[in-house]
Amino acid sequence: MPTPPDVSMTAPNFSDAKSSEAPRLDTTMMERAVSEALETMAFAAVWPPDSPEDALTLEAAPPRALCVSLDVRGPWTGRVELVASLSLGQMLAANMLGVTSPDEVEPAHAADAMGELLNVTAGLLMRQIIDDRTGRVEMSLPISCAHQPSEWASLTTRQDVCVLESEAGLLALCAAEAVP
Amino acid sequence: MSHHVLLVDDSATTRAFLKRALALSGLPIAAVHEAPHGAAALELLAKQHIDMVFTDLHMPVMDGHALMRAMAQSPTLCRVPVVIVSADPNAPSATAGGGPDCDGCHLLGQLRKPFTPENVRDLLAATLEVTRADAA
Repeated sequence: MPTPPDVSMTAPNFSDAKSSEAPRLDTTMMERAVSEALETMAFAAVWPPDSPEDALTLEAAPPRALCVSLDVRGPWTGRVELVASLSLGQMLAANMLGVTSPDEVEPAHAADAMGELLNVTAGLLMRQIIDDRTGRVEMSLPISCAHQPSEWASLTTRQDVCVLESEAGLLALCAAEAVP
Repeated sequence: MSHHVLLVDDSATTRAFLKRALALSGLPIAAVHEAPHGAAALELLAKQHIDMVFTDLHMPVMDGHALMRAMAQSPTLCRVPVVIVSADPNAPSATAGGGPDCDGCHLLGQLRKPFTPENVRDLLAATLEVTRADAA
């Protein structure tokens, strides 16, 4: 999976986006999509944080976090991002590779699994809002980069972000609709 | 008959997961071959007999649609059954064994991500059943 020098956490600006006509994504849809993806891929559950306010603070930022993102173009146009600890990727990859201990999983495989989780989650998200009438969706390949803990609080307080808890710590899923 | 199966996906973890699922599916397998994109798959198909291809759609270098179009242009590869494995909400939704050709190649069915080993087993059971019925 290619790693770009930087991935902005702000919404992309696609010139041909039609946000006024676009179907809307909400955090319930986002929770449903990431929950189904993780449960099917790793038999893992996600749930709302026990203390939602605490989950949004700098201190709650997942350690060794990775940000994976992909762009979507179609009836809904924007960027879908997933931020989580590398431990989540290791847990996911361990299940997919058939490795007993997540600690044995190499970081490259963990990042690959995180990219696949985002790809699957984005596909599930889009299936909730498109049909034969609304048309086709194009999704880019996922890209990844390190996430700085200092960005956690500003990310998780946004309206288009869903913060959830998992066995491997907190994760944030963001669906930023493009600015027309 | 044991099958030579080719898995085409840019995610190494997904290829590993699919390989494990195939081992549990009951399909007699002689060997599982892997390629990270369509171009590598075509190279492999040129030198190795393959009985079935499982391919992702979104990949770098050469995507799954281009791979299927290239296979369709070959008199021998156009007959190799293909299963699409994708999270793409627009992926051809052919029912197992009975779907329309995709990009001109022999499409057996679609495995929609996320999938379980049971989904792989069920798809193969249905497609191989249909293949046998067609041949009879």
